[in-house]
Amino acid sequence: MFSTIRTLALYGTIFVPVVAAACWTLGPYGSHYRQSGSAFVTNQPVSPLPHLIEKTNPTRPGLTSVVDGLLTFRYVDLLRHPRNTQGRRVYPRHRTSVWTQVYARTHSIHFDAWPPAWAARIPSS
Amino acid sequence: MRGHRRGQLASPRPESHARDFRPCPPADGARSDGHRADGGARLAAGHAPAARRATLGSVLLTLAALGYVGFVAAYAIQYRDFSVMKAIFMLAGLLGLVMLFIDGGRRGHPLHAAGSIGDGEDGGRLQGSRAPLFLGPLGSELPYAPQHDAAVRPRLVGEHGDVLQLVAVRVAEEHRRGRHPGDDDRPKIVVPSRDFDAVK
Repeated sequence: MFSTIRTLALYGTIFVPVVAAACWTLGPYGSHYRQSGSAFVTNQPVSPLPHLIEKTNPTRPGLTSVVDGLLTFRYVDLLRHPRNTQGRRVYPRHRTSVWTQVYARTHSIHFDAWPPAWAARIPSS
Repeated sequence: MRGHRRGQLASPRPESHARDFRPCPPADGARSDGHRADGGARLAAGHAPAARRATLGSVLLTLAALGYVGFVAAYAIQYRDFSVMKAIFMLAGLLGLVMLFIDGGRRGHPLHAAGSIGDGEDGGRLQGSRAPLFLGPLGSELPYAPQHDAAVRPRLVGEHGDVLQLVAVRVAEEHRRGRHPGDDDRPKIVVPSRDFDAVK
């Protein structure tokens, strides 16, 4: 076991710096850091951090709290509303669950890009 | 090699298949009794055991998969918009996720729970239960081929396609009068075709 751990440590010592240096130079991270001071900057403003349990709504509600976003899987609601919506106020409950969104986007390409004929006449809550 | 022969497949005691199940012996000279047939010459020559290579590879794949899953969680916490919760961000770690999925299915197999799968001392391809505990599902070795899973339940029902069956094969009668469609593309009234001429 110790030889395995030593081998892992050796390979990790070689692998991690090489990959990190390659990503920094060949990817956009180095230039982003020089231009804006952050290697992970995007063109989308960063939201304030969510609370652990208390729900707060960002601009377009996705993750409202850590518990609600990361520790839930709203499968029943996904069966009731098997498509994503873009609304800011009216949206299905599975839109605030990270793993439900990842699961749905993995299994159906029409979850996000559904045809207009699928739209319900009564808005889903 | 596997201990499965046709006579055993037709055995009235199908539960014996579980006892007869043995991992495939490796092709690089290792024997099922834990000793290498070539006297460890490959080890002396500097070849690492297959199990160690696979363990390092599975560690890398598992770290990649967990890293991308963690990235999706961190990305969602940072931006909180539902549009950042996408599975495509985990696509680079897909191979590790598939490996964990297969390994989880193998560990849930009743043969693995009974200990018939997982003896890693012979360097076989079905090891994993004796992997270090801290590695968890990382100690397995891929691939886990379909024939490793065909020992118990499917063969209680049938012979799992291992014996040829007589099936009826019907060859349709060929109608030899037809020619290439291009030969009959003329209007029959204006210019009679060869079929029309033959009827006359």
